[in-house]
Amino acid sequence: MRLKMYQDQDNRERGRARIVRLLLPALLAFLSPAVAADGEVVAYRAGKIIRSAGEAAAAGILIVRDGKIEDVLAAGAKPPEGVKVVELPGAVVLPGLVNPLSGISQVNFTSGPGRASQSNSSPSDGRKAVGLSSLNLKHEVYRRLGRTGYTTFAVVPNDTRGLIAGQASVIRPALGKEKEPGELVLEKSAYLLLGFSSGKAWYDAGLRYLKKAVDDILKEKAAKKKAEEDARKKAEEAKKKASQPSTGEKKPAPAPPAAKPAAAKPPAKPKIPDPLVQLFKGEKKAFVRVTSPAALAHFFAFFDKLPIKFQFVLVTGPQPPEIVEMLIERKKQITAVILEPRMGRIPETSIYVNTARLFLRSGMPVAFVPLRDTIDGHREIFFQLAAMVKSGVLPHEALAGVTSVPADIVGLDAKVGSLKKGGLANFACYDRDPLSGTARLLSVYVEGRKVFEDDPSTGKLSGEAIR
Amino acid sequence: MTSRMRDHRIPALLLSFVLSAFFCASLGAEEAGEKEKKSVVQAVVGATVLPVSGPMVRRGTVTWKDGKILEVAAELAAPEGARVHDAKGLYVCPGFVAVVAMGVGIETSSGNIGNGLNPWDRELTIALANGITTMQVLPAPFFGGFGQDGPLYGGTNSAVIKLTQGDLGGMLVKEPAMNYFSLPTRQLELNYFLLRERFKQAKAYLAKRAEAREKKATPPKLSSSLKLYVAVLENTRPTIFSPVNNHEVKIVLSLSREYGFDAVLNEPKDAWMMAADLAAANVPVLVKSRGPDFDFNTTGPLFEKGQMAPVRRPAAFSRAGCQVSILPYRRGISLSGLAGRDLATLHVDAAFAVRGGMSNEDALKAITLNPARTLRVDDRLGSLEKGKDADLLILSGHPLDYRSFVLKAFINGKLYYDREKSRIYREIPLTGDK
Repeated sequence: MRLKMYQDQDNRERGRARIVRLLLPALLAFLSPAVAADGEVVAYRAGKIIRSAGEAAAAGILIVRDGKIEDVLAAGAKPPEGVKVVELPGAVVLPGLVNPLSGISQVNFTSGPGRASQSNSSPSDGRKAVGLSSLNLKHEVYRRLGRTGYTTFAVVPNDTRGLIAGQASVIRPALGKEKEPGELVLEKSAYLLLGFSSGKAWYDAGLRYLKKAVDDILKEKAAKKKAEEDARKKAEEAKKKASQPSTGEKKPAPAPPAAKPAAAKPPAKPKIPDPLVQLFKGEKKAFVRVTSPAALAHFFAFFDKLPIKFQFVLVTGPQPPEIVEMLIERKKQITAVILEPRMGRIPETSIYVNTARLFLRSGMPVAFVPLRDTIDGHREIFFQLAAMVKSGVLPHEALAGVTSVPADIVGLDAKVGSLKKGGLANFACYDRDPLSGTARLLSVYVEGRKVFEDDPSTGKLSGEAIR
Repeated sequence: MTSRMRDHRIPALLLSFVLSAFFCASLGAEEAGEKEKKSVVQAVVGATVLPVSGPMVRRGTVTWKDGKILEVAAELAAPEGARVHDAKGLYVCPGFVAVVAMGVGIETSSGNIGNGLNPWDRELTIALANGITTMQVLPAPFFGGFGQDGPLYGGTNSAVIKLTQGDLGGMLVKEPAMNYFSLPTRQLELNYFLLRERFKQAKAYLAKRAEAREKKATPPKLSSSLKLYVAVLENTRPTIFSPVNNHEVKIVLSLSREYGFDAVLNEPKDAWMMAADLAAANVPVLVKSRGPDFDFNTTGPLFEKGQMAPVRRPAAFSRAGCQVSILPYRRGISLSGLAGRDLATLHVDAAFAVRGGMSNEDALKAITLNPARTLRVDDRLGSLEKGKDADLLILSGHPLDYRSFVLKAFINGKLYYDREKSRIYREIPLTGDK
């Protein structure tokens, strides 16, 4: 009996504790100073701010209004009157990291296709698929994204192994209050991802999709030229008629211009532009994923035969030096390279090669994607980058490879990838140089709102996990 | 897209057209510039040259330009401005031709081989380092690993490729290279009768088709079961048969005579007994010079089955005047070339044939000119003659000496293998009589 009574009491106490535990986060959220009201200006004073990769870290103050960076002041400057000041003592503030190719939005994201060295398996056509469509806000992963130091992700659609893999959408981490997946989106269609492998099936598909798009463009071009010539001839004829026979007839002359727009309008309106055609016209960015050396050779053999070419970002795995040389020769076509931060090996030897370093020395920009496309993989990025730095990549290049370069290649360099006036207030605070290996992520801000905080005194992460 | 852009969409489009056209034009111009390499005469001087098509040339010179051989002669000074490779005391011979290889230089073989070639294949590197510059390659079998021994199945894809390492452009010579014809798996008279019937049907089809073409009518439909037979009769490429006994050899010979197509015999077991017939019918054979020819069904003594030691077979065919191509024991590169009984030791297989009674010249021919003839690429390959492709090797000794190593291999006049730079072979010290 007595025992049971104690148990009841325990249960009651436990129930109370549960209520408190449930209420506490809500209370905290209510009181939290970091959640800035609309229009409020917040100044973040930090020991070291790296405004963009390559610039020296300096003490300074970030002025944030409405989720955007209003100004970056030097350390000595005074923040404007009446501005709330948040002290980040001893923190190294970096621009939020950017992942230019991720499959993390998918349900099976742990084994998803957002890897640079992923091989392409079927030459399918996914040009209509958009990364946004595979977003499912009910999944916890979107809230966890912010805990990694990354604040921008270009997410590709579910099946990205095709010849035309689909369009990538750029998203930010969720804050937990979103109702629609669209609220996360910075850019619905940032680029079109293509893939290529060797083999007949891929050549056939290439002819079916790429060559056809090119032919369509050329046909359209020819038709346009013809229409223009016809119009010009008509106009000339009309002129002749107008000048030669009599000045009395004036009506036929204005008639052709009226007919011209009527003829021109129907092809302009009817359908949504084909992303592949846009790509060949230079209106859409292209990422091309080709993994094996043989596939690279075959891709360029095919690509060189196309009458219209486009510039693209190459997504590939670590390659031996002779392949890198071949790629460097095509610097004009390849605007940047996306790699995983890992070493390649010279065949027949145990000599490791830093592929990224070879590209960087030739002046090609390199963006890095995490080795594993998971939350943990993203958290480990600086460990991997530190290894790259050890083998010859310069620290600022490694940093640029996860901030400014990926921001640039997804076309959002005005908004993300560096801390500058008018950009989004996305930043991550580390307790020391993030490449040092012992650095700890202290907090992450997305559009001026804190999405992650790590309390060094307890070792507890905000949320539930203990490291 | 901003509203500003939308307003000016058409001019922007036009601009992008102009820009893309300009971009393409500039790219095209650049590529042309890259291709336009200076054509320099190259020469190997002072070597013992084995041209295969003729007698050995001591202190010989071979010169080539733009990938084609200019001259092969003794005591010839290299022309002015030529890039000279001094080969005093070394041997020069045409690159070896592997008449059948499996899974080498291919990444994937879905559909056809040309689109699935891998110029960076490590097995290709090993084969090239051992002097093979051209091969007829088949996709690797689904099981059995590296080009295992076994029947050559009908309907297989095959292509003749050059082992231009790291250079996809010059790799494919022709595809398909041969028809692969499987004879009946059960040796029943009925099956041979049906086989002949099929050939008759195929001939009738060809006649109908020719008629239709004359009248410019649509050609009759070809049933899929007749496709291979029609391909054999068209004779645009030779057909390879793997007869299991002399009865089948006779059938192949009579079919070839009757319908006038080129047959090639792959490892005809006891056909050495009718080598003279094969020579008369001008049917080339592919044979191995070594290997245990295990037959677990053996019931009687070997001589009753009419067997001959493998090492003697190439010589037996060669003596009768047959066109012999030597096959290595395995058609692939096994264990990274360590096993020593595969494509990596093709020249040693030829040396075994010499041990079995073949002459040096014939043995070298059996891995160069003869396979090139069998594959119908002898107009370009297989020997060092004026106008042929400059596919040649500089070796440290005679090509049939087991101690010889390939020092340099040129394909289409370009250096693709240099022992000094090879990560595999440069560590092995050269030994020999020098």
